[in-house]
Amino acid sequence: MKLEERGIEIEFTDALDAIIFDQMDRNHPNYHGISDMHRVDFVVEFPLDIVFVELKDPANPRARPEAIADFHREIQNGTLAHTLAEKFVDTFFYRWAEDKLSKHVHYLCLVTLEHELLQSLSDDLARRLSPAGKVSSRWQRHPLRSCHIFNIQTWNQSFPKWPAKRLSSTDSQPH
Amino acid sequence: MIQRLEISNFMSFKRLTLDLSPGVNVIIGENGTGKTHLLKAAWALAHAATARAKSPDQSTEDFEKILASNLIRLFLPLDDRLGKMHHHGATDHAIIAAQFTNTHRFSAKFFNNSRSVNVKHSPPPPHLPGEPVFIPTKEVLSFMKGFASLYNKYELSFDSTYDHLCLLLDLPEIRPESLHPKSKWAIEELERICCGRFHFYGGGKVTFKTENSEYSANAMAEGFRKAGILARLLQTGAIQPGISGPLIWDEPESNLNPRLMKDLVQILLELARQGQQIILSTHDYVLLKCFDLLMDQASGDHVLFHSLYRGDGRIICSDSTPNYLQIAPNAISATFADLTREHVTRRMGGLGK
Repeated sequence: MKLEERGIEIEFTDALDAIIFDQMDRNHPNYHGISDMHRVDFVVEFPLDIVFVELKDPANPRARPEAIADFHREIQNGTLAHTLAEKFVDTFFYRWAEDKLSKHVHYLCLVTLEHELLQSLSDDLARRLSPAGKVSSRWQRHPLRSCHIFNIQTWNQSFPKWPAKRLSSTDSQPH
Repeated sequence: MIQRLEISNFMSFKRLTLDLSPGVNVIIGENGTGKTHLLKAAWALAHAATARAKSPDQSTEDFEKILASNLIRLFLPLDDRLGKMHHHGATDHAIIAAQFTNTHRFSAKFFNNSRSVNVKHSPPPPHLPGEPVFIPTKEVLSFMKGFASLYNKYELSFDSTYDHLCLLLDLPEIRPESLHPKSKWAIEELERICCGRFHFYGGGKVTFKTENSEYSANAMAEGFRKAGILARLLQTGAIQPGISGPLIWDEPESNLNPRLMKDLVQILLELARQGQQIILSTHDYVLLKCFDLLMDQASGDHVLFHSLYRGDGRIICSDSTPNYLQIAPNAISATFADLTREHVTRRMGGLGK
């Protein structure tokens, strides 16, 4: 199953289901419909796991200058991890309401920056999603099995069954 | 300034040629790829070329014997034998050579049974650069007192870069009017970073002074002592942009708080802009990335990244680029990629594989 967002395509070759979660066009399937909620880009289902995927593509040569400026502002003021965390939490909430959260949840972000920069961002995101890495003794399960931030290179090294690539301008289709 | 280094059959190197930037050179590579040996060879050649130019009347034989002895004190080979620095198994001579200008070249050659080196050099230019400076990985302010006399009397397990650095640090300060304006700026910046200044009484006695108090240098953080070394070398004129030889610094990041790295890189870039050649090695991503982020080509910055790695047959090779993203292989970057792979393996099992 291939999904595309902002010129990056990921093929989840072994997925049971894969949807564009932030679909805000009511003429398409899986219309989200609540613009006030933060949304990850894709939700992908496997036999025992659910993977939320968020793409950030500052390296996209066709990205709007305002979007790149916004992204750099989020990096500079340290709110990028906060934004990514909000997307996870609202998506989790939404999928719970859909009664589609019965498996382990993983949150993977694909951000087109050098992977050296992504390590600290990954740590920051993980801290925000389970504050300070703490788990309550009352919890019967953890809301998040794993979260990490990749670039295209480390994504492809880590997930050979989910190849990601940047589409050329002629490949890219609006959705 | 060193334009080019050429090394054959020396220590861990089979054959290596490195073209250096007149500005900043950042050498990276995994442990065992010869970074420190390369820095020491650069220092030895620049030091020897300067010494030779200053003493043209010294007999070649004497000069070669002294250079052989200096190489032994610098590289500390087994049994203090020059021949132990010959690349294991090589059938040709070991050669280290530096090209300083288009016409000034200096080389030293020896074999595995040599007791002395064979030096060749072209006539030095009329305005020969000053001596090079080598800052080793360990800071020296904490053990400077009495070090020079102990070093000369006993066999200490320190290479000669420590002795040489201690001697430079104990020099008197140069006259204020001789201090380069940017050296003065750099000294003030370093004192701001350390919130005070190191005071050198001579004989290796060093203290740290703030506006109201004086402390033992040993009471200060090691990172501050490293910053203090750079400030002192500027005060004594051992480092004088445009005048002194290359500043060679082995792992400046050791014991330095990563938050100080940006300030240090800004100082090094400014010194390089004023004509100070800098050659350093690092394992540190923050230091490496700071050079990439802070260099300003419009200001004349010229930073070259040199990656040392073991290629076919485990031979040490190099690749140089002015573009951080094109460093290949990048041992530091690869470590972060390894962390990502480790995370995925531990937390996600077989998903996506």
